[in-house]
Amino acid sequence: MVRTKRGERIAVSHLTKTFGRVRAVDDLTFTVEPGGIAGFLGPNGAGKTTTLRALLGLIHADAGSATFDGRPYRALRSPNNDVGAVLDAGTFHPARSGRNHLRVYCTVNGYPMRRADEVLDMVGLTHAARRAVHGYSLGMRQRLALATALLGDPGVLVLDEPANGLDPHGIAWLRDVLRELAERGRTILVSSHVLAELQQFVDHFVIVNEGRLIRQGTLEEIADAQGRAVMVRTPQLNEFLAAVRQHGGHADTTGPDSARVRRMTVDEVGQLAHREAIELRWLALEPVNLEEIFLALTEQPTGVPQEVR
Amino acid sequence: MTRLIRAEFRKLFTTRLWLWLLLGSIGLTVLYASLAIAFGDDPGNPTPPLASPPGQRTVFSVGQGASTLVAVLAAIGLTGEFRHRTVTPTFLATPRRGLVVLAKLVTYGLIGAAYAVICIGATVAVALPWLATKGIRIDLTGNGIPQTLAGVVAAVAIFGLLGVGLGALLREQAATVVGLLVYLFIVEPLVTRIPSLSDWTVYLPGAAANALTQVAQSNQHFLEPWQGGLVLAGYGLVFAVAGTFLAVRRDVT
Repeated sequence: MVRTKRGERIAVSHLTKTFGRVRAVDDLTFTVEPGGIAGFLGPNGAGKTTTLRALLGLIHADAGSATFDGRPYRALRSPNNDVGAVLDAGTFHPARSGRNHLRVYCTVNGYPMRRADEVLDMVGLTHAARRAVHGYSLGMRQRLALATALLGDPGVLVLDEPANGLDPHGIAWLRDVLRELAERGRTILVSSHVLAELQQFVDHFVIVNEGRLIRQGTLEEIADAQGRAVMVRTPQLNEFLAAVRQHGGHADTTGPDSARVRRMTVDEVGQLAHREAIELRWLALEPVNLEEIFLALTEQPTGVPQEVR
Repeated sequence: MTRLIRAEFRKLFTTRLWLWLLLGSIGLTVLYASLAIAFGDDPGNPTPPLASPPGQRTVFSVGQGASTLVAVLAAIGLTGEFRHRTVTPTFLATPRRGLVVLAKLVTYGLIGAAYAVICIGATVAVALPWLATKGIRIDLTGNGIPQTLAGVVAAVAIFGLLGVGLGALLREQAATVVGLLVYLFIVEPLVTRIPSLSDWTVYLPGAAANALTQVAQSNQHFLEPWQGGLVLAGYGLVFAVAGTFLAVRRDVT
């Protein structure tokens, strides 16, 4: 159903945008490689939407650049062929049918009219094609927005909170569509503030807060950079805790015979136990919990967007 | 560019507003034509007698009644993009926003011309039989009537540009439409009644449109038709250019 096509590389470089006194995006730099799904993650008000809109030429950045294979969006000759975007699910004339909405953009781009029906089929909206959009549910509008983005069979997809309003089936469906597109070489950048939506299908994370890059990389890389805890079970818990403290590590009891060790690697804990002749019944790296990492990385004492000093 | 213009036509014809405003334009034209003929020869009426060429030109100029609704249609066509946020996919498809405004100028100019032609048809259908009952035979190719009809087409078309331009400048739909109606129906009619301002009021859009269609009124003087056309087109283009640079290029958030 989806043909193979290599997408462009997205590069955001030192992007800065200020609205009034609020610095929405602050010297933000990251890249998204073709053939993968990058999750753009941050709490509400972190600057995700502003970044995506600047990337798409809808707002003017104060400084920095955002490009597709080196070219800014406004320099693309027929941008719908290269980049598809879902920015919000409310960009339709309520009295126009979904099919006619798509046909408008077929006309703008010179695509054949049947392309509108093809993308409606891809997003599962054929049954509602001739109905006015005001009768669509939020989930249907999200699907129509995605259909609009897919119209030009672009190499890059930029999606801002595309799962908003989708039910669990819809989210699973979206995940499959994006997976397939990524496997076919497309570059996909998808923002969300809901971690569970992303954790299952995103390869690469870009985490922002208060307009600034907090961390980027795969889940493992980000977790490692955070310093992952080591989980231990031992019948000699007190001796173990004392040994860890002596060694400069930090240990918390998590049960009558288990502990979580920080500031030490799995190897170090194993060697320590061996040296001290402490019996270990279980030794493992703590599983990655994106939510915990996210909350730790985006802690905001005030929750208010930062003002320019 | 032709794709952009065709897309604008598709946007227009995939909702119903154009139909209601066309019917409204025809209704207004029939009403104005009826009033002009029924009361045209009343004593005290500032319009020249119906039997005279200027009187006949005034009757056949009523199709310009469509101009207000065409301006409203055009203003809604532009501001609707912002109101319904379709401006996002529109500018994503065409990042050079000036081209979008240009395509709308062309589209609503053509729509205005088409509305004018239809309203002229309505005028002729009402006026010819009615004037015949008053013993006035009309030669549509004489008495300056062809120039008046051409003026009607030009005036209504240019009001389309005006609506697009004003919409681009204000972006806000309700403000644009209300402003347009208040101006055309209240502000300009009041201002043109102040005699000491008559050197200036001839350059107002409504008066310029009247000049273009060679309306004659004994209590008001107008520019030459070509001057009226230029003044009117000037308003549309100044608004559109100012709107493109001041408003349309602003951030779409």
